[in-house]
Amino acid sequence: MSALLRAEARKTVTTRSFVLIAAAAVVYPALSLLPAVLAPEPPAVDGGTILEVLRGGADVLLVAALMLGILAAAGEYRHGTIVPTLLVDPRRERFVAVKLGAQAALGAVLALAVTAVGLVAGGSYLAGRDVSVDVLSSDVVATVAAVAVVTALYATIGAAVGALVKNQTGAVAGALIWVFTVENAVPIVLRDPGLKRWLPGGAADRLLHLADPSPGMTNPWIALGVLAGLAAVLAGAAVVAIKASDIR
Amino acid sequence: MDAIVVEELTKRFGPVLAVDRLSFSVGAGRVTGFLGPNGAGKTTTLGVVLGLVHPTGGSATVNGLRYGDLRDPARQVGAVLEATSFHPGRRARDHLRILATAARLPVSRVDETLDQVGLADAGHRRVGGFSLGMRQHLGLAAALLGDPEILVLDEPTNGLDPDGVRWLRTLVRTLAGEGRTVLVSSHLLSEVAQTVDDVVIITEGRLVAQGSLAEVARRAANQFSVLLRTPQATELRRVLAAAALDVTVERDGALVVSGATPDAVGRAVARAGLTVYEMRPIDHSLEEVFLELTASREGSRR
Repeated sequence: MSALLRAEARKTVTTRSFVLIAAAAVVYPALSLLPAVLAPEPPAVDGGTILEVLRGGADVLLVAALMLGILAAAGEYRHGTIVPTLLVDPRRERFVAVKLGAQAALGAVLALAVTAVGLVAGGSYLAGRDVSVDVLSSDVVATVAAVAVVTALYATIGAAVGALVKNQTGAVAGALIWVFTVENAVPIVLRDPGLKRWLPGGAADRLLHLADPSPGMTNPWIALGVLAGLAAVLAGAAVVAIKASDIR
Repeated sequence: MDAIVVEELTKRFGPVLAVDRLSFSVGAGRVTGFLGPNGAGKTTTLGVVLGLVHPTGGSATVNGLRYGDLRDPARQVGAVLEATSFHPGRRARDHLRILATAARLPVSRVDETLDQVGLADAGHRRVGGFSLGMRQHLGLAAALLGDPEILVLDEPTNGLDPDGVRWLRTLVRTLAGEGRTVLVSSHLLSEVAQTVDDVVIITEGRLVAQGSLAEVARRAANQFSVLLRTPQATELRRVLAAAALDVTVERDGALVVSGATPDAVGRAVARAGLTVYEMRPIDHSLEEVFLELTASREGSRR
């Protein structure tokens, strides 16, 4: 299994789409500070600002992880690489498990890189504003861990969607429409703002506020269950679909 | 000992019957041509053999096991199914390293196989910049990574120039000389006739011939036709028909006797005492026999 995971990780990082998307996610936390740095009247900051910087980086990171997961799985069908992959190891449930596992691991590593950049860039900015940041404080550690876990789950969900939908363009378009439109529209259309907590974006938001939850936020374990449950359901559906399908 | 055994294999895609109760075997250590026109069901059959396509009925085994049950399949079977199974943005060496890692093969095999297929200098290049022929070579390198005993090659000459075809023939013979089993599909008998020991010929998903190439060649030799020119065509047709010979009349008035040797036709003409201006055998080539065998059988597929 470890050989398959290493092969899968190499498969992902040897494509230019991974390099470009990951690079964009990594530099975003630093770039996101530019408006504050260049503003004639700098915004108010305090010790909690570093958590906002970390969460700001996660906004782009989660979409990037979702896209990378989709590209990794649906790309196998688009480019036909699923054929040599299954010739080496024909166990299809393992194909899905390795794909999801590798994307989760890469997502977590990418999240740690993004949060590291956020801490360095945000810490430097805040130091310049005479605000000290303790990167080992429980709030920072909890937020970094939450970013890593949520990113890993988003990458897993992306890979499951890609394995299920197979059509790369369709899966990417559908995921973007969901993230930027449907997920925001559903609670409004159904006139139930509380519905948001049961959707991936709301669950992710709750986990990213692990250290400083807003009033009325649900239990973080429920949020984790929503994301993990969605990933598990999609992964199960992907296994059923690939086991039943002919690879041509 | 048979390396690959296909038994009563049937595959239906919706209303289309792609493979129809197909049975054949591939002898270990032999080079077998898997022949048939485009759409005959060759790729579907190979897909079932390699565990990529689920059969509707019947079975296909490799070394006695379904492909999915093989232990370390990359060390037992190498396959090239199509020249497009590559990520265009990935470097050739990376493509092979991924497969070698997944199959737990030594990384040294990557450069060895690149060298074996003549891509040693192109390993650093992205596959998107490869010609179709280079992709075929890379596919072969991937198939050879595990140093397998069995090779399955689906239309491997597609995209190859004449030099590439010659190179492939040499490679296949070299691999066969090492005792490997090779199953190579093609829609042209002439492409593989110089390479194969045995042939399996299918059309419309059904087996129409299996045997050694020599047996098929003998069948070709037995399928003489004889062309005759005579001023007494009516009498000659009657004589030949009486001798149970099948005669057709060409546009220019020449008579063609099918399925008969010049000896038999000559004796019949001599006995009748008829005048003949020209009599010559029409030799059916191996390719013509192949085309005849694979000719569409109307209404045979439902």
